[in-house]
Amino acid sequence: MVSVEEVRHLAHLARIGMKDEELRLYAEQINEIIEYFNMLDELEIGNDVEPYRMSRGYKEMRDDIPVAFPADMLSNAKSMKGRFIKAPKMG
Amino acid sequence: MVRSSRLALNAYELVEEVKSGSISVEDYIASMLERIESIDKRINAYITINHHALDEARIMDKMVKSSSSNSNGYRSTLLGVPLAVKDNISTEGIRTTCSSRMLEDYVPVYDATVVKRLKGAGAIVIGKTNMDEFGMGSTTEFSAFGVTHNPWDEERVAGGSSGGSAASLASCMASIALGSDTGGSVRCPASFCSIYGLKPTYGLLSRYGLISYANSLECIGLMARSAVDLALMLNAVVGSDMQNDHTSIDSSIDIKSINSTSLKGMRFAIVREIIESDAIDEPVRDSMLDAIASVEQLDAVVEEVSLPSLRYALASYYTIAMAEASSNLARYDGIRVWLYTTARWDGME
Repeated sequence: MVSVEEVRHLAHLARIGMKDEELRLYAEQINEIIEYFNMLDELEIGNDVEPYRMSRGYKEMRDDIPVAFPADMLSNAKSMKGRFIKAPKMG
Repeated sequence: MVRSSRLALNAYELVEEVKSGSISVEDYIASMLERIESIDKRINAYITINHHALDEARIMDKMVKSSSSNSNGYRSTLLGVPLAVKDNISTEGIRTTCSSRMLEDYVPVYDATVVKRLKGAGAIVIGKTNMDEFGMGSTTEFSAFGVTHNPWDEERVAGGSSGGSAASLASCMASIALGSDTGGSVRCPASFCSIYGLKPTYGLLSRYGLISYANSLECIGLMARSAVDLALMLNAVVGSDMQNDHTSIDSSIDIKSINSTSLKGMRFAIVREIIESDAIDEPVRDSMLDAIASVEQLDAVVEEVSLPSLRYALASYYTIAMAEASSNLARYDGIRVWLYTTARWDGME
């Protein structure tokens, strides 16, 4: 079970600002989801179960040949400095 | 809904009219854009409209005029058909937000495979539709771009997460649409807005270009106002895709075999644990039983099956979906993908 303090810490790690009522609500909801995991613990799945596999009609990997990425792929970078993308300062 | 309007035409009907020259694509697209302009402020189905739609329509009209009896099967099965695309599916040059502020100015430089194939068949992207953020929701209320209202009753939700796509079809602001379905996100809004939705078997359609939420579960889904339109769309988009190695082998539907007067030879399964469940509202159960009776009257075989593992379905879904969402959305960490917000670190210490 997860406590409100643990959720507060999670929010801090995720840099999401939350009010106390929100922390309480989310703690409740997170605990409901964790309950679902417990439900699955009831099941006994032996080691002899075959995992489901998709069939593939063709080989899985392309040849290892370098391909230049299109120039416009960087169009979504908010700012560049020469060849580098400028990102926010961390920490 | 405007039944008598030509904007209510099914895609297959529209294509016939376009090919015969009785409807100009530019004219049709212009009327649809006008309709969006006048009613979408109430419905809020669209986040972004494709500014090039009319240009593309003009190109289609030229193609129709210049090729006399060119019906190159696959390539023009959706000629001129206006397509709404859910905003988690990449469209080249058209903003794709997943209804999130984190992607509010993201513009993909490529089309999703399914979009590319529909365009190849002649469809014209009208715009990007509203959804629950990143696909997480079933009402299209959890969007950074507002709630999508149900066109049948604006006080009601459109369902979700592909609510914008469903609402655009129900109110004739599109003729066909794409959605995505992880745990019902095409089926639910299709049902709420009373249109047709198909969630294909996982792996039938390429997911290349679908922005991930839970990639073991999600599929791109097809939405339209008739079963024949769904079949047309499916035929245009199936097929293996080198970009997505979980697509299964090619398969297609014989359109002519879709016969609305008989379902002879088809088998339907009803899951006992669902039909007998306490969780279903009586009117919903009655509707299901009516549908089953209709299907039997059309000579299909309906069999009841038991699926005891259904009990664990929701738990399995949450475990897989939340774990995968946590991985797939980890990239929106404020470093690799970030918003410029001045209040970013306020109140955190």
